[in-house]
Amino acid sequence: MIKQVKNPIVEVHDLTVAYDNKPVLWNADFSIPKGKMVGIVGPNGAGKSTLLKAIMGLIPIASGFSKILNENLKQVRHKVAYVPQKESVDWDFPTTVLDVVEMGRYGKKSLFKRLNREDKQIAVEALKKVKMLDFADRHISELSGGQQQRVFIARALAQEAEIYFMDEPFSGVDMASEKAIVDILLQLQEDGKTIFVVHHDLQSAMDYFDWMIFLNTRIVASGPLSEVFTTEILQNTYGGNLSMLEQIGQIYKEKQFPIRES
Amino acid sequence: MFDFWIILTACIIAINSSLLGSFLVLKKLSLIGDALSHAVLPGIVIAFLISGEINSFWMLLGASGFGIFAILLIDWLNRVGGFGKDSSIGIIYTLLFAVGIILITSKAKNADIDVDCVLFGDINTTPLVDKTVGVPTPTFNLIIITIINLIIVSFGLKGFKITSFDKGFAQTLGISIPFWSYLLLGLTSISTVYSFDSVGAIMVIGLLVIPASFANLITRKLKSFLVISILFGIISCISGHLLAVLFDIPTVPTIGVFMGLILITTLIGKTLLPNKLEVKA
Amino acid sequence: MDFWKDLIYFFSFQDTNITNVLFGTIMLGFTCGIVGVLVVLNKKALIVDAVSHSILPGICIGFMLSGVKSPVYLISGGIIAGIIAVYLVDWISKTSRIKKDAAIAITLSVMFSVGVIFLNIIQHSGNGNQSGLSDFLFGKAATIVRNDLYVFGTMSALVLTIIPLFYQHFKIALFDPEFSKTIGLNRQFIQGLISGLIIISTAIGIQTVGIILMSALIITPASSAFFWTKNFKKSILISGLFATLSSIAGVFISYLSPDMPTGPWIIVSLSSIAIFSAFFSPKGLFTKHIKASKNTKKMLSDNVLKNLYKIGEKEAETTKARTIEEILNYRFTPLNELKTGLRLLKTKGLAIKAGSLWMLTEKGISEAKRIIRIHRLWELYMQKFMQIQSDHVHESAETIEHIMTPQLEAELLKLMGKPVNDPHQQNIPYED
Repeated sequence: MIKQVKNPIVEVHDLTVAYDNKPVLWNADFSIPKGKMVGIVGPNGAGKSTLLKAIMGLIPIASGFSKILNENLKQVRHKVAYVPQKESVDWDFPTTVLDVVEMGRYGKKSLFKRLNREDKQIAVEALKKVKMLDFADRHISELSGGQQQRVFIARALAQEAEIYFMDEPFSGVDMASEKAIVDILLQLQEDGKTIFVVHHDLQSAMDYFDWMIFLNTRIVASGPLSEVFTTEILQNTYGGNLSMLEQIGQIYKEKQFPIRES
Repeated sequence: MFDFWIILTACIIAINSSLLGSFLVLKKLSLIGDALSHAVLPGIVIAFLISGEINSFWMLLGASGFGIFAILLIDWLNRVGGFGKDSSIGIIYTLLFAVGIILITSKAKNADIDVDCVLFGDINTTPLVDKTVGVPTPTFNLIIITIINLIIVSFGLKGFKITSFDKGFAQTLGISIPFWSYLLLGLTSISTVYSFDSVGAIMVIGLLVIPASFANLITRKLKSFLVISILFGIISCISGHLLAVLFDIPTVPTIGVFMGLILITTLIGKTLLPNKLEVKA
Repeated sequence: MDFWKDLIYFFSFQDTNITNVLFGTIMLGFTCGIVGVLVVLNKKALIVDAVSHSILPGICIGFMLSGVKSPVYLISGGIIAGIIAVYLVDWISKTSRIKKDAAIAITLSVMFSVGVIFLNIIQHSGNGNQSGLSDFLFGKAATIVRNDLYVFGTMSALVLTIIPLFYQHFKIALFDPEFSKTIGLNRQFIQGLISGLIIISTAIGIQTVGIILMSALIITPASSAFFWTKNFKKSILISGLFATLSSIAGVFISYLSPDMPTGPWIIVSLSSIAIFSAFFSPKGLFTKHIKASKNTKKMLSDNVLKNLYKIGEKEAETTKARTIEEILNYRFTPLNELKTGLRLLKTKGLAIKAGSLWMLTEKGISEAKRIIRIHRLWELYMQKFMQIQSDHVHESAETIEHIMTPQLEAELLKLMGKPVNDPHQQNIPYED
């Protein structure tokens, strides 16, 4: 069940993503209204992070497109913030907590220009919001997992975006931090922002999100929580036999056959 | 005045290499630096064969094109050709270096470019060569290159920083990763070419990597990282030269050994006294 | 015809000097080439560089202690220095934030500096034997004499015994390190053994190509070999073969023209083989290009076949002959592509040309049915089993129809029975 909406804030159309010409995400097609807290769930290796990365233009796509605020990503970059998975960062890099949050302001003007007072103030405010101001001068590797995650969320806050994409913000995070992060997200939603969260715990997903995307190599369902949280959809997402897709994917890879005809 | 020019030249090279080397080390591109320091050789030899002199500013600038060429080849071999990353580096720089050596031994014999100076440089002859506005030409060239590098790095600090720290995030801001990485490698290639004649291929890589690694040991802030790296480079060059004069041994390798000893001593000190020896601000 | 005379003389083994040099370089090349496979698979390619540069101070100390240029002392010194280098890289990268690549660069430049200082001290010591020590920098195959051969032979024999002896250990440890741990293989021992092989082969290999270019003698032949085979044993042999051929080429070139240095030419030959492999091996770029053009042709001929059938499907006359205009009217295809497609169909015996008319053969009809069947079955599968809406299934079926195997088709049929219509209510054609 995929619920398409009018005037979506994010629209994904026939999106296929392949690694080494083997599709890992097939024909994703959905649309999301403004102001939702969207949970993206599915089993391991289902393509959740791949979906976010494709929308953020971090990996090439084999077919289809995605639109944000009815524009291409390029035109609306400044309205989008992305919190990557922790592994994508070089934790040994010489940089402090405040440094990292200030990076949220880098996209606002030419990299060759210095940050001004206002930028720094915004960064400090963002750190305050995640209750990490006391750690501003620490090296990022000296924090706990939950604290690190909060710093990266602060960086996203400093971007002052309309739409937030977060890749597994709750993984490796203690309960207290998880609660703190959820509070921040709720605050964002109250301010009218739209938030996408890749998540793996179904139980808490029911509490956190009001819109769900069920994903397993293809979109199984997308819609308001109450409409899509059904046994049938869960079975399709977590059960189901994908060996056919796997085998076809393997043939694509071996033959390096084009995934679309043109 | 004699030693002054040698020390000055070494220090300029140290400033330049430590600065760019810091980013190479942080981006885990140390071995690309190694490859560059060897791969520019054919460029230098060809520039020499055409212009007949080793210090021609424009010829050397052209020669640094070989560095970029090597990077592109490595990248191509890795992405398109299907070789592993390490193997691509190993194959390309040895090939280009071999071509350089073949050119020297067969075409440029008896000229003042020879295989020994390729490896060790001849910084001790710096005071004897032609001068430009009163400064030995190689030193003069290096000063210009260093000023350019300092300007570019101070303005582009944010770019180098974010593309090294968090590539994915930088991309989502619309920052071009290839631009910043080719800028860094291009500058490194140019610096390498101009340093080559003075300190040779092996010490170019030493000066790129060792000061930055030293800084990496004792600080976790980017600005102090860069400052410490540069200072370490300068101090090593001065001490290295003085020790070399004292013991009557060649300057360039003495700088290398000096840097190595300090680094290893610091590392031992750190393992014995953890939590000390860290610069906080 | 000097070249042919030279060639014959060179390979006639009349000249003992040439024979010594040739045997020496072949032996060293072969040994290094073989070790290279282990090195590259173990992702240790660039540690060779640290080891080879570090050998210089070892050689110098060997010479200083013995006072003569005996290969035994020099190689022993080199091996000890090599061991120190491997430990140094390991220690630096393990005890600090310094990454492995930086540790390699640090080790090679510092150790090499030490070597250069020693070399300088030796040159000033007035020992008349010292001349030729700096030959280790770029190698000097031409100076290999009978005595050297015995030493190299012993070392090569050692390497060539260890590899078959521990063949299975290496295979498992390199292919699946986790599994090798579970069956109780001592990882450190295997890693140590590989490091040992690197050090020994490097210590002798620098004789031919020199310190700076040494890593290529180990890495390049192995990297090229992987293009030609996936088999571990074969890759070892092919790598050894490439290194041997390049060694012969290097020696021969510098024999023809004494100006030409042997070592660098060995490296240039090795790299040429590598680049040749990248283009023309079964995994190479050229093969990929052929694959791509095959794919394009397949799509083109399948699509024309489909169209030719579908015109008739509507009129229920699939066997009727059609003009090119009719085909174009049914669905526009660029004329040259359409003609290529038809020609391909003709050579495959799927269509025949009668005057200016084209019609499907029996074989062509059944092939067209197969393609259309797969297309429609896949659309149905996507809709029913993958919860994809029917207006989004066509695009993906458009390419899958070209690549689906009969076995997968059978699976689809088993899964869905023998459905009559696709999601767009079009008839799915079967053979009977």
